[in-house]
Amino acid sequence: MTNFFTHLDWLFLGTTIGKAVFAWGLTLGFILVNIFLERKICAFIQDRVGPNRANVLGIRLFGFVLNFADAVKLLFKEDITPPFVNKFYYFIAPLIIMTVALMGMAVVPFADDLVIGNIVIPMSVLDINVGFLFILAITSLSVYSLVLGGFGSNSKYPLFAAMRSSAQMISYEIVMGLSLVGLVMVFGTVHLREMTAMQGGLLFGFLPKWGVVMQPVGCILFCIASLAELNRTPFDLPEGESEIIGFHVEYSSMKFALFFMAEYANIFVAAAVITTLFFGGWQIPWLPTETIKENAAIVLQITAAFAFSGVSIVAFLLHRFYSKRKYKWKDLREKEGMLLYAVLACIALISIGAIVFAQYVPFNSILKSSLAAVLQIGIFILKSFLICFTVVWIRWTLPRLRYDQLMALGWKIMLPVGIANILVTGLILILVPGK
Amino acid sequence: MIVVKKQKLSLSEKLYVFEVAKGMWVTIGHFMRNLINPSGLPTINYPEEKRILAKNYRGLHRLLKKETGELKCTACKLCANACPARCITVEMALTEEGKPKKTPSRYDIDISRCIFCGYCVEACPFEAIDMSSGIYELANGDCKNYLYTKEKLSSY
Repeated sequence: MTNFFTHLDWLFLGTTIGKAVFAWGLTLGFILVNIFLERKICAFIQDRVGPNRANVLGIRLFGFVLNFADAVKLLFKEDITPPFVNKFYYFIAPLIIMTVALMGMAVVPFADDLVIGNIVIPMSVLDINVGFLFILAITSLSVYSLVLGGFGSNSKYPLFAAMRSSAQMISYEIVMGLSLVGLVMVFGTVHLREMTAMQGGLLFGFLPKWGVVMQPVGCILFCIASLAELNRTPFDLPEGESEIIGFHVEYSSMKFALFFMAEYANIFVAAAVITTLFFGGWQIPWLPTETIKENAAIVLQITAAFAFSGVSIVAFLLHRFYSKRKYKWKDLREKEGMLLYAVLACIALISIGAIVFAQYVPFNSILKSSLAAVLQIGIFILKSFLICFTVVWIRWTLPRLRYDQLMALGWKIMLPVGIANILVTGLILILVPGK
Repeated sequence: MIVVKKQKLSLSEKLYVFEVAKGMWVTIGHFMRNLINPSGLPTINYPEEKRILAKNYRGLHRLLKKETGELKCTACKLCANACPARCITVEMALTEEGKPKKTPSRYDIDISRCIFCGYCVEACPFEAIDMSSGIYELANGDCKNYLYTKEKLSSY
């Protein structure tokens, strides 16, 4: 026993647990953000107001608080287990999909290696060399959840839906794998950390060497296939909330909520993977880690300036929103504006403080590398957020495909295009030397 | 026989990508417009904001009074006869000798049965009843409160 503890790498253990908590927190936090985005974007696209009533002591945060009301509702709902279900499969299906959704983030790097003295901490929970193969393997497990959920419900319609969705997910997994072959050919690795590091280079001296620039067709194919894997519109046949019955009709209360949450967690994981593979991951364009560390003061000042201008724009919009309101609430909601203004003012003060701080205080190496890490995590989250936004945006724009159209698109268009993409990439790699 | 002609698609429409981009452009336009100017939305925030009613909006009934303060109603029961929902009950008041007094002793409207058609207003020869009160928030937890009596109807 002593031997085990003396040989245990405490630093590795501690940092891994820390990173795992961060990655999980990020995924779970993005469930709330995604649900909020879904409601508000949908409302604004359809010229509606969206959620604006639920409040805690007058704080509504533009409908964000509605999530908590939802959580309370789902927790306190009666948990009905129909008498005809197969209990084991019925209970295990939501657990599988949630586990799979949370495991996806394990290999995604969210910043460059953190160098403190001579300790190097890779900023992904698992720094393993199989990279995105792990993600493909894990995400394909979620099919089990759909099939078991539909089959274990022991009812006709969930079974039909499970059949439909498993066919869809298996077909699109092939395209998903094929679209990444080109990327592997270009970067020569499947290790996500190395892949992201390579995307920091420049193509022709000015274009960032992102996956989307190197593999535009592969990127489009992968994004479409991910939408299909996520069961999002235009491929949301498995769920089809209101029109066709999904595989989770027999579920209620928190078990249904697990399916629901896993969908939104999966959106974030898919966004993170797309960011890492095709949009440079944590890479800030034209700003490699060394440059950040060398010019830490200037970078911090520019970031603070960006933050300050962002805060001013938000404050302007808020002021417009509150001053144009034609009615009074006559309760605590009137005070919400003051709170938001106070938060914005705090951020503005902090950013001004950061500008002054960077001017007068010398940076040591720990401060420099943590600045780089924070900036890179920030840009990674920003990119993922934009992709989550796009996924929701697509949902409220495009109509759903018919089942035969779905299969035709998958097998007759995307599969040949994926194979052609591999051939063309190979040809270019052979013909263009030194690439 | 109906023959459905299949629309010929141009190449850019067949590719689907450009059409998707067009649709996305429309939706993001709506989104940005409403994000920047949420007060421009057509929504009426109901309990705080109220719709401006039309002049001839048919709200809750009201029994009108003469300048002397008596009801204009003569209890002729034309409104009760005109009512398709049969929700108006009128009884004429009697003097002590038992002669009719040309004023209602009872004028009840069962609002839970009323369909707000306005026939009672049209039928009234003395303009004693109208629906211009503009009151439409009539929901109530107790059925008894839906019976509007003479006093209630002439109080606003």
